[in-house]
Amino acid sequence: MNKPHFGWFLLVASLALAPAGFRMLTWRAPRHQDVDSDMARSGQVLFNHKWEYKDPLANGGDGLGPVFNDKSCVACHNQGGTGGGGDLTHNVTAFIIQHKGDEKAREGVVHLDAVKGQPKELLSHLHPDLPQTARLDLTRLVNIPGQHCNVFRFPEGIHISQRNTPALFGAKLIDEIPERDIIANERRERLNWGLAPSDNEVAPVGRAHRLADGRIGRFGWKAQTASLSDFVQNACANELGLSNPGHPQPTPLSKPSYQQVGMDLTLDQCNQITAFVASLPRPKEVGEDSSTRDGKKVFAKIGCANCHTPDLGSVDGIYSDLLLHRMGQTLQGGGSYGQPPPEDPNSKPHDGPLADEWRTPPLWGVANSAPYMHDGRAKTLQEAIRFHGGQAASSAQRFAQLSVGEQVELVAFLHSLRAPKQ
Amino acid sequence: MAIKFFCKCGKKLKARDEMAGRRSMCPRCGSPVGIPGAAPTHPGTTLGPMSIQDRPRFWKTHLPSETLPKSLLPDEENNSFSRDAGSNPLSPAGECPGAQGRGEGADSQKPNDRKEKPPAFFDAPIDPLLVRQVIKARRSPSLIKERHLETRWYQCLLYPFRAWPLVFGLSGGLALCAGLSTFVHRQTQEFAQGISVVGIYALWACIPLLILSYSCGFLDCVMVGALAGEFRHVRWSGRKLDMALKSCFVWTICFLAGPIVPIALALTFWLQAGEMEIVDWLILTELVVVAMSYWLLVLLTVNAKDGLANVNPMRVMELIGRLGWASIGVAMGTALVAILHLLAAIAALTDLQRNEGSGWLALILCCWSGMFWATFLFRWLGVWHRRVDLASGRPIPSPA
Repeated sequence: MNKPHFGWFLLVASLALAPAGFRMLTWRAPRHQDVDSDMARSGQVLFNHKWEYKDPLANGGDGLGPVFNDKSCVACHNQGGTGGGGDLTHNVTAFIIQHKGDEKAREGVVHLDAVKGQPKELLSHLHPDLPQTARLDLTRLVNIPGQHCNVFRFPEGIHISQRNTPALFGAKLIDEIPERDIIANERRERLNWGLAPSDNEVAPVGRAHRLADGRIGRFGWKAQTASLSDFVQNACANELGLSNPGHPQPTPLSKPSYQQVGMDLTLDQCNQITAFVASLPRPKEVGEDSSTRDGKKVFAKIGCANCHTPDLGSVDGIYSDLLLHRMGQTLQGGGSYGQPPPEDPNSKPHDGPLADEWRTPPLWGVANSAPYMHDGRAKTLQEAIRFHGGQAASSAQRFAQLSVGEQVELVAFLHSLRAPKQ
Repeated sequence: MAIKFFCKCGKKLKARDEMAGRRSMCPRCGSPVGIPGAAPTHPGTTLGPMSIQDRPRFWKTHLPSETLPKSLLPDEENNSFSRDAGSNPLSPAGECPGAQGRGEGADSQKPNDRKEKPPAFFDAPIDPLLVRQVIKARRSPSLIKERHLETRWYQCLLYPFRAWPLVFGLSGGLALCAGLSTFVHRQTQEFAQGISVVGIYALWACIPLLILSYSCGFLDCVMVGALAGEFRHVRWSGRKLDMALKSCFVWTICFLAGPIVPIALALTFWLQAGEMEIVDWLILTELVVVAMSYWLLVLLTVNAKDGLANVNPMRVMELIGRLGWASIGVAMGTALVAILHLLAAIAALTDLQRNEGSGWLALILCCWSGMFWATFLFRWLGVWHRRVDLASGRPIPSPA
């Protein structure tokens, strides 16, 4: 055999190693940025500020409203301290309207209140057959086992659901998790469950929510937001009616012709609120004893840890995979939080979350975030476990089959996951 | 004293003295072999098997030419004797065709005794499948006349069709095992949370292991058959479980002796790479191609030399040196075909859990296609190796 020239070896080796070299040069290390304390202090002021119509902090914008759910961030995020979850009274009403033959659904939020001089939003603005109220009691929306429910018969094509206020503790850590760690979890779950597709309704195989811009969603009940900054800007606009560079304020259902006046928040102000939320400490496990240790084992044994993975990337104790999982018929709830993002012409038709798909909520700080589930239908942790369906149905079933002692241990473990002391 | 002789595939065999002159089966390739007599066949015989060049000389001297079929005459093209199965001559040391070697023991048998027995093809019913192939061949003698060892790569494409019962049977078995394994895995994960599942897996793993072993054994036989120059029948080790398990063991050792490293790297990279871009797919493909092509070349080395001692990079380099750099290209092409089938199998397994009908169909087609191309490639590589050795005047690779 003729020995090839050494140059050929060099050429082949260079070509073979080129992709690996390129990837090494472009490999993004996890970003860890310290929070600017001045920014965070300014953000805290804005977070606690009770906004008014034509507020002086609104930079010439119309300030609060015209429609809003509450007047400050802390009004909803207050359980277990500033930045915590909210109770049922602060639930947000989301709607989705899609009649037969409609290619695109109309989505949005029915706000609880409106500024003086502006008409309030009512469900009847969506359809004349709906009641003239901004929000229905949860027992009129869904059948909750163990509660007397009188579910309203909604006209065809109209779906109303509620969203409970999530806690914001440890949001910075969630924001800093590299996308590849979330995707690695997605792939690992598929491998663990025999290549089961994520749209199955039995095996706990989740999927990362790929947004229209290609990023991975990680905040919100439907993982509809990719970064903490976006999440804050989205919430400011949707909850308080504060328009900002990242998100316009919602147009009232009752007055579609309303014209927005300037920006209510500057990008700096948004960054200050983001910095404050990022400065909130992470929740921790407290009061570890034999009972909570055993409870943690039971938690893994009955399969809770399949989706509520204790660690994600470099973040330990998060108890979430941040993936969308199908939770069954009883936990359906369509509609995105706020106005839908602009459609990407390249996005696939089924990329958005299905009605029964929910992001696994992180369980850290769960002891201080009652009520539970996306709409707060579960008053206790036991109820929350029982209400799991779809891909988590088998775990709920196994929980029901546990002895009373084991159930108590599991709940004791969950009660050890508390919001941070501030 | 045991009689020592060689099968036509090169396997070193031993038999008890009382078995002299009887028929048996080669445990390696499954071919029928005649056990030579304990006596030397002619005075002054060498102790080892005759070389390729010696054999025609021996027959010309010791056998009348009219008793020799054409296939026993020297191969003019290669200036060497064809060692094709079925045309294997009387062994210099034994009575029966299919065996070549020497007897150790008595020393007083005359060569004239050999002339009285014309060479005949061995047709002992050893393996049902093998017998079927032989019977078929006899029913259509025209086919036999036309059939010869492949001289062009595309002729090897016919081989999987000749071995269709095995190709279909084994690929069907593989598809069934792959499909059922996903269900078994899911059910085990679902119902055995927190329980040790090793026992369940061990119990289930026996069936896929069996099918995998027979598949490895079949592909080994395809390659060994090609190396030995067989063309009359499809070689298979039959239902011998130990042979199949041995093949599976050899494949596993060959995998652990190198390919496992790039495969582990590829798996880790795939898990950690995040959203895959073109450059990531390139890296992944390179790693898998390196692993698969090296695995194939190691298997060829082991089958050509019949020994796990040959599982080392030096032997592989030696093999590449003999076959030429084109062998790397062929191995890489084979790896790409394997990757395509792997991706198709993953897609089929995913589809299987949504739509059983189309999923099973896709999986069976994928396995069948995979087995078809594997059979073709193993045959081609074996034939290629044999031809290169013949052309270079080397002794035909003795897999012993």
